[in-house]
Amino acid sequence: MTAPEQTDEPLDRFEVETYVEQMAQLLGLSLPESVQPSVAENVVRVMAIAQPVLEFELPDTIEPAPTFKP
Amino acid sequence: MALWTDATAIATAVQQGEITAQAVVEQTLQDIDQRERALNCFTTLVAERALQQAQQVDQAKQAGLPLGPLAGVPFAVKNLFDIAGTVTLAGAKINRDHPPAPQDATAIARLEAAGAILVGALNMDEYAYGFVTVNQHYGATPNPHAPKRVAGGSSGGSAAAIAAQLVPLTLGSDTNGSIRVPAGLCGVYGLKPTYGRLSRAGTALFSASLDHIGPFARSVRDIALSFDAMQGADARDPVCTELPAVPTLPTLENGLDDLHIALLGDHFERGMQPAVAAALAEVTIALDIAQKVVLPDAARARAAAYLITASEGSQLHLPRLQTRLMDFDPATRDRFVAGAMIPQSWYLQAQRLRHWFQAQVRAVFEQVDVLIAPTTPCVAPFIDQETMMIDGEPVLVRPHLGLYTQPLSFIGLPALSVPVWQAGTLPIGVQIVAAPYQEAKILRVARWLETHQVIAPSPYGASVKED
Repeated sequence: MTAPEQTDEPLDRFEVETYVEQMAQLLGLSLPESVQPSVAENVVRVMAIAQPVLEFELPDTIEPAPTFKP
Repeated sequence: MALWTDATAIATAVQQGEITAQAVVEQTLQDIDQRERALNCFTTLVAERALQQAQQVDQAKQAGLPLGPLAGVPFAVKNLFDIAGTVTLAGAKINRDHPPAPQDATAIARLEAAGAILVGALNMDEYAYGFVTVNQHYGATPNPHAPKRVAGGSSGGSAAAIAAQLVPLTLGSDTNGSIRVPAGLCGVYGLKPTYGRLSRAGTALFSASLDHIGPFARSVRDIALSFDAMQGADARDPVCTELPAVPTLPTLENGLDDLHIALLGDHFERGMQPAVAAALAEVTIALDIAQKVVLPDAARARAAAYLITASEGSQLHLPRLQTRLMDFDPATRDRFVAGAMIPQSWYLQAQRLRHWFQAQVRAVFEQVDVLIAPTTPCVAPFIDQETMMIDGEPVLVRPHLGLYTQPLSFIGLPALSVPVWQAGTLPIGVQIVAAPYQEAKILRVARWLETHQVIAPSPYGASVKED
């Protein structure tokens, strides 16, 4: 499981504006044009933040922690 | 200006009949009325309720009945706590259309059962998604020590009300640092207990996997007293622990003797301003810390905390994003929308990483009892400041404020931000951290530092270099 890599080539293929437009439709969100660039900017920021989490190899035995008890 | 030093001092005076609860509450309400305009801490006052409650405390005293440990202590809560008969705003314009809350949040009920008196609700970032308390609908809560600067957030009203001595005790919530960051920037104590230790029932959630509540105060004994009063199982909160309460007050004066304390290295020693490093060194030297430990992949843990927060927060607010998008604060709106677009596999990877990180940190706590780290990498930034220089590089101010708090709340560790104050400087916070459910150890260390005058709340009204 990986995010689009932070290299020029795959990012060229990933069109964040299209992603935002299509996902908004899927989620039932009506995004005015004035808002879309900032949402796209935030999606790109999330992609960058996610990268170190996604590239980290976890053993299959590690479960998610949805109800977390420390 | 308040005459009291802390909540314990008020409770003692009320218990001993030196002052009535009514007089305390009247003075507090008057003080808030006179000073609130400049401070912008409160969004709601419940004066009538407070006066009624005060009369009950005074009647109990007259009847010779035992008074609670917080008798007559005025307190206030971040406006995401339910107050019966009041609309819970959670910092949002949208929530003004909600019906009034049918009952008080558990934490409020427990503090009142101990004799404390609720006076109102406090400003915050919209839906708790921020570290600054700059709110489009309810205004910014400025830092009481430097009004051009932020109070921190998202529980900014809770920290600023303590810093300005409007009330001696407040409650806030912390998902990624929202108690510790404002406590640090305002120069007060702020405790984020173990995840699940205190009931969140009757609070507006943000990211349920990571949401905690906790107290702010001006002394370690007040933190201990209020924390102890709020402990205990609660069927209304599915993550509230059923483990027995562990009172922290009885061991507060036990000192450091059997405690193994270490400094957090690596992630937690990089990227801070020199003033923060100096404050941290002061605490480290006072505690005679010789060991440094590393939490592996803390930066990755922080990133995972971000993904969980954004995913859960956005999913929670999706119905409102669908119907009332333009009524959101622009400071949260576009982040919430982007968060709703995070693939589920990214979220689940973050939740799995959380379990992995928990195991790594457990191993660390087999070697040490208490860990020390800075609260924020910088002093309070200016309200309109977007970037700051760290190690010669410009970084975005707002997300960077959670650099040292996020990896710790990610796995539910208890952490107290304590105020390090030097004359003429802006407040700086240091976190004291322990293994889950070891709040008593944290408070012992804090109390020792307080007794040895290493830490103290920044005096309100003292002159500060603002730049």
